[in-house]
Amino acid sequence: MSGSRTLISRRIPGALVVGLLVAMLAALVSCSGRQASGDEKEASAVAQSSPKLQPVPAVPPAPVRERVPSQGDCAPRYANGGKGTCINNQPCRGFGVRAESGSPVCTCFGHDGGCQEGQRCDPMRLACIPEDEPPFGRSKAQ
Amino acid sequence: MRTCTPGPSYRTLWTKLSLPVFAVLLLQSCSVLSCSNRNGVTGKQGDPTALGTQSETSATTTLVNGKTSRIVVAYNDDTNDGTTVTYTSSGRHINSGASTMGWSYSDDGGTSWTYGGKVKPPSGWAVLWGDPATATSQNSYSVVFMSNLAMPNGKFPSGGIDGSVDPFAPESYLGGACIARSIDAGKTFKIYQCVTNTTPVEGVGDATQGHFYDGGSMVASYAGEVFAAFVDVATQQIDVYRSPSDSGTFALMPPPFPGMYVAAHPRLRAARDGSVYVAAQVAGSDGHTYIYLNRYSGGSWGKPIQASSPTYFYGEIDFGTTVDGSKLTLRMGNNMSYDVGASSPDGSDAIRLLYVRQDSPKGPQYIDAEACYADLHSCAPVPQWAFKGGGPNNSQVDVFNPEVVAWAGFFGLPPTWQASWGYHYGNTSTVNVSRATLGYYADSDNPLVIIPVDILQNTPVCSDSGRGYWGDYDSMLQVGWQGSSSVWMRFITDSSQGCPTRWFYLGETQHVQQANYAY
Repeated sequence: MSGSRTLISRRIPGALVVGLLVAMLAALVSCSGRQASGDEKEASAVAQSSPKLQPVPAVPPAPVRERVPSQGDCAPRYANGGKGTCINNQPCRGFGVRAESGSPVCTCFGHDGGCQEGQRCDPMRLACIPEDEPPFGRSKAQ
Repeated sequence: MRTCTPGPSYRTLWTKLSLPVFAVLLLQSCSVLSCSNRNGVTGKQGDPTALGTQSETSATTTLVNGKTSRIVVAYNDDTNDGTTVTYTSSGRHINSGASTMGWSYSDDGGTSWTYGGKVKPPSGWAVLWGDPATATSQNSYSVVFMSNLAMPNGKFPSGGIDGSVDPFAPESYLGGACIARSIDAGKTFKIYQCVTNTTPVEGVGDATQGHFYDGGSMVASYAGEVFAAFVDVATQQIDVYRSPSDSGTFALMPPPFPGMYVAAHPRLRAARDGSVYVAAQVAGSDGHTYIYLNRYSGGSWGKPIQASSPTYFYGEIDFGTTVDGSKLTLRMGNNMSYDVGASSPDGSDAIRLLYVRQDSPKGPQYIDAEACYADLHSCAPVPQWAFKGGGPNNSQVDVFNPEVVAWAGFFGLPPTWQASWGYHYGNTSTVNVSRATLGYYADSDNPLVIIPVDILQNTPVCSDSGRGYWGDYDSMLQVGWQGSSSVWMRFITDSSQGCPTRWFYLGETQHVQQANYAY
């Protein structure tokens, strides 16, 4: 290192040396803060034999049944301007499907009975959401 | 993984170079070889894209003349001449002829970017409306496809559209999608084919004019086929189109998730054995939604499998602050990503999936992880790859847009699994982007506990005020090598030029940026 010191002192003023060393140190610290951990550096993309994983608890999908048309003029109007359906002469915040018994039932993607008052059935999220909420989780209109 | 630690080569340099030169080299080595570095893809001063907004990316790599690697990135391109789409503080007007099907490309590993322009709507279609997807043919790396949602003439009002394009879903002005193709590795694109489903649907009045498509995903299989998928909001299914080759015709396939209610942007991925996977959100019988996967192999779909715990999508992150006088929020898209790649000897983790969850309405939005066998006979949670962070002063950390990418390895270079995501904490108007490895501790069966490393910090957010829109998804891919390390590139929206405009449908500035790192 003595050779290096000689090199530095011969070519660069002392203050500048200190400043540059500080800058270099800062750069190193900055870099090391963003580096992978030691474990990650040594990590393997695959396990040695078989990772011990437990299957995800299964939940059956919501049943899809034959759709039935809205009949009558009782379909509720949603606050966002959209419309529900009229099933069994009852306002339905959702859509009609044919139940196992053969009779129509109001549902919202498996939630039989449809959505509650103040909600609408959203085909993008497959769920009941506030009736004035626009699609795709967008904010309400001003 | 390269590091910033000076090695023997620096000692040699030390004796030969003056200190200033050495300092510059050291700084460069840090930023180029080890640390992430970023730049703007669009929006530079003097670039056409500086006039307008760009966001929501899908990227791929191609090969120019069989030798030069090119990165092609498509985005929602609202580079605007002010004639086809116009904005007021509270509204938006869309005229026939509008297109947001734009892209950029780089032939130098992302150092510089060239704006490719926009594809115009073809005959019979009024508007091309974003949600880009891209795929490079596995038969010819100079052939690349790009898709956009589209509005057919038959659904487009004569006076144009004021406001939302889908105010009363499942009906919409959108009625299909168009696929463009490039045969010069992504320098130019021409419309190749538009696809639409006009089957009548009970309760959907405009179904016969073209079902409302949303999202978009494309993939080229290792068997030479090309696939494009969209969520069919009219039927709550995923419509997947298949072309037998990169010069064939796209035709609608049987549904991958029959007997299920399906939503959100689908995601397609290809495996080396020629099979193709599709993922989407499915309604469960318990009122939650779950990610399901299915596999196309040997000419048919297999049996769909539940691949997640309850999910959270199309939500928003409240930043707890205001920008330009209105609350700053960030809207989420489908919030999930997976890939197919190297698996452990038992095959249980050939597919690795990250997705966003939220346990309570105001609770943190966090990442959970799953692994699945390639044949989809089983999926399992991998808690070590999940990420539920906490910020300074007990602030809540919310994550968004996870991306997972596998690299298969090559001639002695080991395979790699990488992931990245955006996150926000505290009352700030910025987000960070982290990366992590989805792997295992050396010589063990123990999954590596995720320790995120930021690749982008404090990047400002300027979403629009009405929708919280800042791009519903981002892209990530492996773009090359530095020595024995892969270079990974993550795209995200860029509002670093400030936030002078926050209107209902318009947040400026929004451009595209990339951050890359070597691992």
